[in-house]
Amino acid sequence: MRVDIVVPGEMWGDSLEGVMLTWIYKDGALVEKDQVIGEMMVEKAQLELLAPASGRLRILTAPETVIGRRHVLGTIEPP
Amino acid sequence: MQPTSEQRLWMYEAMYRSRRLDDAVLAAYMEGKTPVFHMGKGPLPGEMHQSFGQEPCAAGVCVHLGADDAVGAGHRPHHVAIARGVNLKRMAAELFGKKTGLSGGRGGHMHLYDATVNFFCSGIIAEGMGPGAGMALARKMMKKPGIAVAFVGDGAANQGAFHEVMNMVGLWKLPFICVIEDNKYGVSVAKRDSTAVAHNSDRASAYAVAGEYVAGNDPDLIFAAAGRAVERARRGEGGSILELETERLHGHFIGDSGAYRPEAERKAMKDPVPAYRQRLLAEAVLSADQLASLEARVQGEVDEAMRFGRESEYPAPEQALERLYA
Amino acid sequence: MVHSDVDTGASRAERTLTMARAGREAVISEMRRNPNMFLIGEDIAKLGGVFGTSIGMADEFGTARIIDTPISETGFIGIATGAAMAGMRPVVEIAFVDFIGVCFNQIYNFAAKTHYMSGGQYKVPLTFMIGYGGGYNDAAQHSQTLFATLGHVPGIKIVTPADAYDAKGLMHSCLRDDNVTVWMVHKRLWGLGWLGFPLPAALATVPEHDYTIPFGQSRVWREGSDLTLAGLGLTVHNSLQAAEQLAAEGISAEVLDLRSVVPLDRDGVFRSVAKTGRLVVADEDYLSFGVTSEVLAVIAERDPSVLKSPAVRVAYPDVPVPFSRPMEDFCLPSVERILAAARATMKGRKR
Repeated sequence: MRVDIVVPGEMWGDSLEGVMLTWIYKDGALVEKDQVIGEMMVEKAQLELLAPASGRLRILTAPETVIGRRHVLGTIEPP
Repeated sequence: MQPTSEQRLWMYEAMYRSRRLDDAVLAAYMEGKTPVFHMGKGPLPGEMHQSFGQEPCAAGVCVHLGADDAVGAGHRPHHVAIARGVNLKRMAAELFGKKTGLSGGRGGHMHLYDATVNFFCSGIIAEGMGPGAGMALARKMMKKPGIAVAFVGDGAANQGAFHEVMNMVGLWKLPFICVIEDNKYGVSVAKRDSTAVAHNSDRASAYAVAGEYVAGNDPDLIFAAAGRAVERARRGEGGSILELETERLHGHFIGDSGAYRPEAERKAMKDPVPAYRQRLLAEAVLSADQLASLEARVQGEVDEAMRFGRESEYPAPEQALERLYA
Repeated sequence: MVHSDVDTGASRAERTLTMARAGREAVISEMRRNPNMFLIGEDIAKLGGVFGTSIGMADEFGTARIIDTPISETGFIGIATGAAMAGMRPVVEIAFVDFIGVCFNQIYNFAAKTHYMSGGQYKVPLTFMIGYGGGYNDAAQHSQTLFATLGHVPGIKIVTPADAYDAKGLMHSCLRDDNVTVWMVHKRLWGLGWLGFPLPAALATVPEHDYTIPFGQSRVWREGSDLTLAGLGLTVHNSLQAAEQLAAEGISAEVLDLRSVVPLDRDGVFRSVAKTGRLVVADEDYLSFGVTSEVLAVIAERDPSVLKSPAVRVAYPDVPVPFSRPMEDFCLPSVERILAAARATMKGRKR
């Protein structure tokens, strides 16, 4: 089952937009649940993105893209 | 020692002016820095350490000072500079890095200097202690009137310079007051985790100076204690450590969320500026109309200063090479 | 750890890290290996370091090994030195290199010299993690580079990686060395959240295993035949950008990352300049009495005849870092200044 990678609500605080900074793994890489797979920024805070599941990473949002609260940054597909 | 109504209004005005400037600076600071926060972008670049909550410390001390005195502040200087009477327009222009700034744009926010009111800043913790005491020494050696005051944070009391300087202040009976603004944090480290004693004013006896701790972040209480320290210095009786409990209402600098502080602790902090405003009205020190008039005037000064800062020209790039030597 | 136990044809997942993350990885690995290692400095436990050098470490190792200190550099650096002499392996955080002023005696007169002064009886295995550099308006006391100030006194090894791969390898080297070692990273290369987007060229594929990079070894980022652009830290990246532009103008520039201030790779410098015959050296530290002077001395002492034109230095002028943006930009060793120097040295003739 495909799992979306989104920034959890509580990490947003009052902010409405953030920015994707870096992906640690490449598109197509196998990752494990809870691994740190990327970094993004919400206002002045730098946040880590954790893999919500184990499987194959699909990147949908490039670094330096402005993102909103419900933005799907990528997905984890079954391996 | 009680402040007169005039002195209380002076203190409120100094606090309010500082607060309105910090509000304007905060709004302007974020321009150009979103969506990705980049400290070097926008009209107000660099680090910015604001004084929200600490205004009483500057007001309650500086109300006692005159033209012969000298004042040094640290990396969080706005409220002290304003209470000292630093030229507001030139201060704002310095924050914007303009050639009309106090230092022609060379210093910036942590390095505000205004020699016309004997005011200086330093960006390194406790660095201003020695220079402040030196200004006191000079007045004594030259037999000139005036005392010197250095504002530092509670973290500074753990720097070597603090101890070395206070020992000499005690040894030589210098007319010097070290004002410690105890906002209970050194960036992310709480005072209870960094300092072996609860009150740095208790260290005073180690240096043969007077020490007093003032709780409550209350301008009238600070006024009284500062008055005692100032009179002691003016009478030639020597120095003091005046530690003032205050609150750092925001993070260490703009961009610091302060998430390392417990939520309950942050929520419990009280803002001293509206609190003092309330008290002045309740005690009929002035009427609501008079207050509105005062605030409107101060707001106008702040607006004008910010406009001056924005509209002034930048220095020419090659001017970076000027003013190294006298 | 990612396992390739599912046959998808994909290899073990490659990671692209920021310099901050790569440096942390090395420290965490060594902390796990060596129970005598501890971190000490300001804002490193709860905050994880002003530059993110210790994020997550207090959770893993506890506050007895990730020690938040008062603002007392002379005190805690002296304490760390003594602990090192007594068999421990301290790692000291000084967020801004500008702060070495308050504690310089402890560093240069005691820590750096104790092994020598004791005739080898005492080792001082001590590593400093330090941030440096400006270009974001932090003014005179928070923007300095100071390679020369630290490098000038004997007894200290200093490295300054310019990408995440080197960051991790050099950190392992520092943490395994029995001397006073200094690992310095330019603030604008770290990949921090408050200085905009990470510079892509500072990111790198970083292996998961431990590895070291020797001290005193420079790195050629781009081979060239017409001139050598030598730099360190951010000026490596400025030189790379300049080299791209020069290539379009028909000039083949070699970009040499000095990487190690002390010991300096004098052989590497000479080898490159002997090959190309022209030298531009870029450094964000002040011009006089610095790294650029040392690089020129290598050529002058070994064989100045290898130079086809005078060498050019692109460094910070001998003034404090100005706050105001146009003045600060004027002083920085920018791509434009390196290009101008490169073109000048391509035109110059030996007298």
